[in-house]
Formats: sequence, C-alpha cells, structure tokens
Amino acid sequence: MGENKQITRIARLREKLCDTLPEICIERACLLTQSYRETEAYPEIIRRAKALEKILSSVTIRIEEDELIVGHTISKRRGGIVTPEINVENCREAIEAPSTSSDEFAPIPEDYISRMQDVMSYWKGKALFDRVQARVPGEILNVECKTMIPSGSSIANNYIGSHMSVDYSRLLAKGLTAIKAETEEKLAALDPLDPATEDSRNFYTAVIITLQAACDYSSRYADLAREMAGKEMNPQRAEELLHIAENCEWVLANPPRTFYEALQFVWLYFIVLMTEAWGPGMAFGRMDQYLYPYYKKDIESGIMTREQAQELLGCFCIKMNESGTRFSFEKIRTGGGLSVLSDITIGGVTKDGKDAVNDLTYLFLDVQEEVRMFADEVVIRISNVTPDKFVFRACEAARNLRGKFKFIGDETAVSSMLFNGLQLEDAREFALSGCSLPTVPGVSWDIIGGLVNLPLMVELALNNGYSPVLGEQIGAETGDPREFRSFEDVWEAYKKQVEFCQEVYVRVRNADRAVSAEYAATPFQSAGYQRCLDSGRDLTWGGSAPYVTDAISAIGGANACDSLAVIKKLIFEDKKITMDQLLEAMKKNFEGEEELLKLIDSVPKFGNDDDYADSIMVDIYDHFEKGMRRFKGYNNNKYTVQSYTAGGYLILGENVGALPDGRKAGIPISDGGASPYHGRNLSGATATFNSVNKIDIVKLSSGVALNMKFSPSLLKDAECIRKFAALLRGYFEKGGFHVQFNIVSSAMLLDAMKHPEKYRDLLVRVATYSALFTNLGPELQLQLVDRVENTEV
Amino acid sequence: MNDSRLTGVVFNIVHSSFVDGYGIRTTVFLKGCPLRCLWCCNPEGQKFEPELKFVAPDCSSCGKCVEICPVGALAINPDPEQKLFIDREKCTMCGKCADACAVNAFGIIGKRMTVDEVMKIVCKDEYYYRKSGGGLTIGGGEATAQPDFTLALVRACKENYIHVAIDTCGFTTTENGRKALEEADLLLYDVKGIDPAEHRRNTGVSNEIILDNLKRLDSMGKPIIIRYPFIPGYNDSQETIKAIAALLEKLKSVQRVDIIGYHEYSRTRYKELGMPYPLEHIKSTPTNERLESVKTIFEQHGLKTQLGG
Repeated sequence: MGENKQITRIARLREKLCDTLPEICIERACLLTQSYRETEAYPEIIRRAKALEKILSSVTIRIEEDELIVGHTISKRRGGIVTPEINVENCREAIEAPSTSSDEFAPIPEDYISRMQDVMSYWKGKALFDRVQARVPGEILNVECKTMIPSGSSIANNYIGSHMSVDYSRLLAKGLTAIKAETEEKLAALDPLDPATEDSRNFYTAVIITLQAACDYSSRYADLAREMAGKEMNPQRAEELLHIAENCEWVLANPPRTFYEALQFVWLYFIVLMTEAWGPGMAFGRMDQYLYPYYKKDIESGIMTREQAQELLGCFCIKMNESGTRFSFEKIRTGGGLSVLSDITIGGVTKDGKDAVNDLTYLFLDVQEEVRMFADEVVIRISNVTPDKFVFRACEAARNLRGKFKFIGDETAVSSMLFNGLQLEDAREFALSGCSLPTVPGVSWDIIGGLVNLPLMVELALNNGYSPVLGEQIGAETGDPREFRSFEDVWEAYKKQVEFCQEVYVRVRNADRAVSAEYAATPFQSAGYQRCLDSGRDLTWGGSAPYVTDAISAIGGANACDSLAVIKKLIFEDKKITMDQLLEAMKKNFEGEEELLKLIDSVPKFGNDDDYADSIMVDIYDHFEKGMRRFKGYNNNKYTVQSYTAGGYLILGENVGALPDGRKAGIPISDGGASPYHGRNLSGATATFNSVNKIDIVKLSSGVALNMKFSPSLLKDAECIRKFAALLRGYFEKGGFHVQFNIVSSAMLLDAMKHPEKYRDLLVRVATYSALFTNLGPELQLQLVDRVENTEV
Repeated sequence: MNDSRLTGVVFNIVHSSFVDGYGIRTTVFLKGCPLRCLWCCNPEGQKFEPELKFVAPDCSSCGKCVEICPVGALAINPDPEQKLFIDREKCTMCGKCADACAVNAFGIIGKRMTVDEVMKIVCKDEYYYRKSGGGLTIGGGEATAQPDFTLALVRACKENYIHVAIDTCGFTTTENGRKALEEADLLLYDVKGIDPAEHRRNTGVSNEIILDNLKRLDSMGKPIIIRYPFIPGYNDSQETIKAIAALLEKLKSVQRVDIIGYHEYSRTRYKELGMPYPLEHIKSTPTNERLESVKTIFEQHGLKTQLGG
C-alpha cells in the first residue's frame, strides 16, 4: 500500500482484467456432482452443505499479482460457471454456445465437453428445472414459457434465490466461529428423540458444516499467500502477501479488527454465497454503513490513510467485475452474459431516520471514478435529510461516469418496505439487490421472478387470447374485439388476460419455490439471517418469515398504456377509426398506413405529464398489483410487484406483433418498468418525472425502474449540477423510487443522427436554450457532437 | 389584469429548462416582437399572429395539401429542396393542409391560450422550481408586446408564489408592459448596442426607450441579468463593448452579464417559415478566445460575466 502506487495498482488490475477473456469454470459443477454421488443417502439439505464443503475444500484457488483483496468465485481469473444441477439444458447451451463479440469467452478446452457430459448425465431428469416441470401441468407450462421470456421460474433461469443481502454488520461483529458455536448450542438444545425437530436439526447441522467449510476455505488462502510470499522476490510484494496471509488466517473465523480485514471478510463471504447458490443479485448491502466503524477507527488510530482505504476499496470493486454467469444464448441477449448484479448501496438514513452519509460514502464515489468499470454497481440512496453537498458530489460522479449509478428515493423505498410488512427500523436499512429490488439485509428475503409482458396482454385482448406471432391460443378467451362496444369492454378483456397470465405464473412460481425448498436449501446464506438461526429453518423454508416476498415483474407498461390510450381515443371517443381498421392495420404491421400512424401519433402518450395517457398507466399498475394480492405464495410468502427488465425488453418485444400505439412487430418494448417508450416523452424531464410519480409506486414494492437520457452538457459545471440535483431531489420528494441516467456521449449523438427515431427524447443544451437533439439541423447536431466531446471528462 | 380568461398567443412552452434565469424553469414563448434584429434566433416570435410552418425535407410531395387548400395558396414546386410554393399572403391559417398531411410536414406556430391554461401547465413543475430556485420565464418574441397577457401571467405567478422572470428587449411602450417588468422578480434584459443609429440599423428601432426603461428599472432595484448578443460586424467594435460596459458599470441592480455569441442555430427555422436568413453572409461564429476577451473587458468594469445564458 505505497503512497503513490494507488492509481497504478488499480489501473494495472483493471487492465489485466480487461485483457483476460472470460472462461467457463466447470470445477464447481464437477465437484458438486461428485459430492452428490457420494451423498445419495443423506437428507437433501445435508447434501447441499456437503457439496459446498467439497467444492470449497478442493476448488483451485489463486492470488493474482497486485491483489490486496484475494479470492475468486471460480477457478479462473475471470468468467463464470455452469449450473447443471439447476438446468441441464441451459448448461449444455452454455458449453456449446459460440462465443460472440458482445459476449466473448475463451474457447472451451476439449476435455470439458466429455467431463461435462458425465456431469450432465447425472443431473438429467433430476435437475431442479426437471423437478419444476414435473409438478406443473404441461399446458400451464406451455403458456408460461410462451408468454414469459425468460420463464417466470427462477430455476428455469439458472438461479435459485439470490436477490438478497445477508446482514454483514452482524457477521462482521461476530465472526463465523462464534456463529457456529451459537448454532451448535441451538442444535444441542433440540430433542433428538422428537421427530418434529428433525428438519431443524438437519438445518443446524448443515449450517455448521458450511460455516466450518467457509473458515477452512479462508485458511487455504492464508496458506497459499504464505507459500507465495516465501517465493516472492520483490520484498514489498512479499510483505503484502504476508499481510494477506494474516488477514485470511483471522477471517472468516474471527471478527475483523481492521478495515482491511473487514473488506477481506466480506469478499470471502460473498465467494462462499456465490459458490453455494450461484446467481445474480447477491448484494453487498450498505457497505458505507457497516464498514464505517472499521474505517473510522483505522483512520483515527493512524494505521490507515484515506488513500490506502481508497486503494483497498478499488481492489474490491475490481474483483466484482471478475465473475459472471455464462447464460444460455437467450439469456445472454436479455441479461448480458457477464454481470452478477451485485449492488453496493450507499447513503440514505440510519435506523433512526437520521442522515447516514459519512466520509466513507464519499470515498465510494472517489473509488468509482477511479475504477471506472461496469459490474461494481453502486446504488445511491437519497433521502430528504441527505445533505446537498453529497447529492451534488454524486451527480458530478454520475456525470463523470456517464450515468452508471442507480439513484433511489429513500422515503418511497422505506414506504414500500413498510407496505411489505417490515418494521420501520428495519425498513430504513433497506439496500438494493439485482436490478432494483429493495431488500433489508439479513431480515427480508425477496425473490424475483420472470417478466409479465403487458403489451402482449393488450395484443391477446385484441385477439381473443390468440397470439398471431406464435400462432397459438395462449391467453384467455375474452371475446371478438369487433364486438367491443366501449373502451370498458377492451379494458375488461385486457384485465382478464392479465389475470389469467398471473394465475399461470403463480402456479409455476409456487412449484419453483417448493422445489427450491426440497432440493435447493441454502444453509450458508441462511446463516446470514438471524431469524433463520432462531427459527431453525432455512431461507427456502421460509426461515425469514414473515419477511419473505415473491415478486413478479410487469413489463412494457408504457406500450400497453399508449396502446389502450389510442384505442380509447381514436375508436371510442373521437370515432375516427373503427376497431376493424386498427386490427387490419396491425395485421399489416402498419404497412402503407402512414395516415393512421399520424393519427396515432396525435394521441397523448405516457411520460408527458398528460393525465389522458398517464391515468391509464396508473390503472394498469393498480390492476396488476391488486391482481397479485389474490395469491399466497409458498410458505405464505407475500406476492409483490416489480417493474424492470434488465435487457428483457429486447426479447420480450419479439413475441409481440404490431401494437395499437404504432410500435411495429418484433421490435423492443419499453425498457424499465416506468420508462416511457423511447422517443415519446417529449416534454422535458420534469414532465416525465411527474408522469411516473402518478403511479402508486409504493405499492410496486419490489421496485420500479426509470431510465433517462441526459446530455453531459447539462451537467457541465457546478451551477448545472446544482440544477440537476434539484431535479433529482424533486423527483424523489414527490414520490420517485428509482432513476438512472444515461449521460450520453458524442458517440450516442452520432448514432442519434443516424437513427433519430430512437432518440426523440434526447435533451441537449444549445447556446442559451435546451432543445431536443433530433429537432436540430444536421450542421448544428455535428457542432453539438464536437461540443460534447469537449465537455466530457 | 387579473382576468384568468385573458388570452395571448403562445408559440412554445419548454419544461425543465436549465437556462433563462435561475434554477429549473418553464419558459413560455409569446408571439410578436416590435424589433427585427438581424440575428433574431426566434424568427417564429416576430409576427403576432399564428403562422404556417413547412418542413420541406419531411414532405412526400403527395399533393393532398394542394388539393385541399380552400384559397389556392399552395402549389407543387419542382425544386426538390423546396417541394412547395406557399403563398403566405393568401394563406388564412385555416390549418386544413396540416390536417391533410400524412407525414406532418406542416405545423401551426402559435396558439391562443388563456392565462389559466398557461398557469395550469406552469404549476405542474412548481415543486421543481422550489427545489432549485427556479420558476416561470416569459420570453418570446417580446413578452411585453402582449402587455396585458404578460402582466396577467406575472400576477398569476405572484398569486401562486412562483418566481417569474421576463426575457425582454426592453422596447416597452405600454403601461401594462412597464408594469409587467416592474412586477416581475427577475429581468433578462437585452442590451444590443449603445449608438442609437447603429441600433436602428441592427434592430429596426432606436434604443432610447430601451435604455431609459433599463435605467428606470435599475433604479427601482429590480434584479437584472443583462444579455449582450455579440454579432461580428454589427455590434462588436471595441467602442461598443466599452460603451456597454461603461453603462452597466453605473447600474446598481445588474447581477450578471451574459455574453451570447452569434450562432446559426435558427437558420433552418427561417427556411421553414419561408423567411430569408438575414445574416447569410456571416461565415463564421465568434471564437471562444474572442468571447473570452470580451468577457475580460466586462470583468474589468467589475461586472460578473459569463459566456452563454
């Protein structure tokens, strides 16, 4: 940790990582399978624990040059794993999938194929997804798979329950040896003669196995570091390696004594979580809060400088970019191949509602500007009591990173947590996981599911449940649309399609949860939840109850809304067209229907602060949320609604034909849950915010995403940043939950010149006024392209 | 002037503006201006009545508008860049061509709106004004050229506790226009030159009224941001710059001077309105170095100055 080396170390680590092609690691799959073959007779939860133990004790471990925080989630420097135990077909596709330029992987070694054949043959017919399929009637599964891509089952999507955060503050305070001892006491207290305690006894036994395995795993790193130090020629690096060895000898078993040890603890714990139940969204929780006492102590006692802390955090953030999942081809297109969506949440309020921003919160922003990578997601909580100074700094950093951060409105998120049934003090501790799911670390377990395609529901309502694209009846029979006499008839048909779809998804989801509980318990993850240890129940068994939610995502609301607005206005109110005309035009994909498209263009669209369209959006989400309240989940879980897609809107669009709102067949639907359809919010940022905030966002308690584009020139100086921050704070104080900005580059402006239809809402600053980029003449556009390059940092 | 049903002709309302005054603003552009500045960057704000806009590149030359025009003001133009002949003398602004056009190549610039209608839109962003210290800016055209309407808007803002600025050329001759300026919270006030003859050549009017109004408003302590459009060859002599700076130095309420370098951003809009571009012969816009040097002169006179508004 030399004074002048911070920048170069981070830069070297970043460069090395970027130069390393991701590789597929099959070690975990092979070791897991080997363990399963050896434990056929054991209870399932013990088999899970023993498999984890086997992997952690045998997987190849490595320490890279320059690293200060050590540990890899896989046996390679960079890449992902395959999970045949979850879904054999996805595993096969991942092994066989060609490497693409956007998702480039190193070639798979010859012997992997044969080794994996053996592994896959073991799991064929008993992987988790096979078990889900066996529990759901074929016709239900068919509708589910056809309407929801990717499927609503987490298992079908290659992960179990992973949008969560353990309670790192408790884990750090105790260390795993103490937690293991507590667990042993709890096990000893159970009557071994009472059959009713068997599940709990198995759970505690499994927890003890995994905690010990995790401690032994960190010892392996200590041994490796010590061995490498012995051979290291560079005395400074040798010293660093010895320091690493000491750290890994102490954690995970013992509570960390320093900031450095605490960071190493969190990273190793994360690796074990990933190894146990690989999947996106294993969040780090509120890092600026639980690490602050260590930071403060080390700074005050003088054993660490702020620069050294920055270097350590930089090393940590770089490591977050190492692991990913080689998804199947479909998933690569929707989710991106290589990000594990592990969020770091900073800012917000304390348990007692006071401003929580501290020096470490600021340091995270500095680190982000230095690391400049993509997978180390940082979520910034902004509450009414957050100081302007911090909000300004966060906006400035967002500008410098062209967006990147997710901004979250604290008051709405806390209200959502209360709506989910959490206690106020816990609610205030929420953090984000995955795309934008709020969860309370170590308290609530919030599982995500697939995406309900709302525009498809409109299409089905206009086709009596038949999908023209798929050529199949996949929805409810809601009648011939030509017989609809009023907009209410259309709305009723739409609602029935949604409700039918929800029922299908809930059946699949409940089967998914049942299979997880029986075959995919996560005892190590559960050890991060006090309630699980107290109740003797694994998370998948409802161990964190009553704080468990099952979220279903409602996607493409803007297209559904705009389509319904067009039907309402043009057919039933203004009577300018007939239903028949609209259906015929849709069938032709609006070929030769320029005049109709122009009429459609004149109907108000969501995102412009126009109640005509916005009120329909409000109704759509209100109906969806009420619809989900009809159901109880497995373990009595509460069903909640979320609204975001990752990249799902691209592929969801493929199953939807031309829509009444003029969107052509097959092209993407609206991104983010609350985002207006691109190019349709033409009335400025405040109008978009006002539209979004008309939705009762609190009730969409598993998160709603809003994506916006901004020109960097709008944040060019302190004065502009102040205004931008005011915009952000205004949005949150008026009820906003999430927003992330695309602070666009000149490359994007050039693209906007080529494809103006995609960028109609791009706001730029021109001389003394702001303008929509696509409304400007080509010469001026070019000028702005040049200007942006000058103003970009 | 508290009549909420009073109407004015508005040609644009821009939300979320980071310019046109302090904070986040909504800018309402009113139609009609007594000046004809050669460099005018809002040509649609010059005439008082609604106008027809025609975007030739969007036109598919289908001819439907020619057929439907009840006064025969339209004819196909064989020039592929022009596409249409528009006889703007004959045109009655009935809008039938715009309705008939399948590709939206026409637009009607300017809409009669009541004070209530405008305020309803303005109030939607009230919260953002409060967060940022922003508010409404009435621009144009020349806001005070619709004196009754502008004054009513100013008063409606006061009633709603919304900060209101007027972007003005200062050529205000009516009582209500002067009242509007006096009652607004902030003025964005153009100073385009000092020499009356040069001013008349450049803008069509002399600047005596403008400077008198400026001095009067300044003496009342009205917060003022001066805007100086810097047009090469028209008002950019060292003499003019120094004279403006010397004048402003004496004023007590000027908070800032914005130097706005000449730009050609409005060139296509002239075309769409069928108007000739008056400064066709200016080949280049002022360099940043030049603008910085002008800024320095103002700063030497103790004026807080920035480039752009």
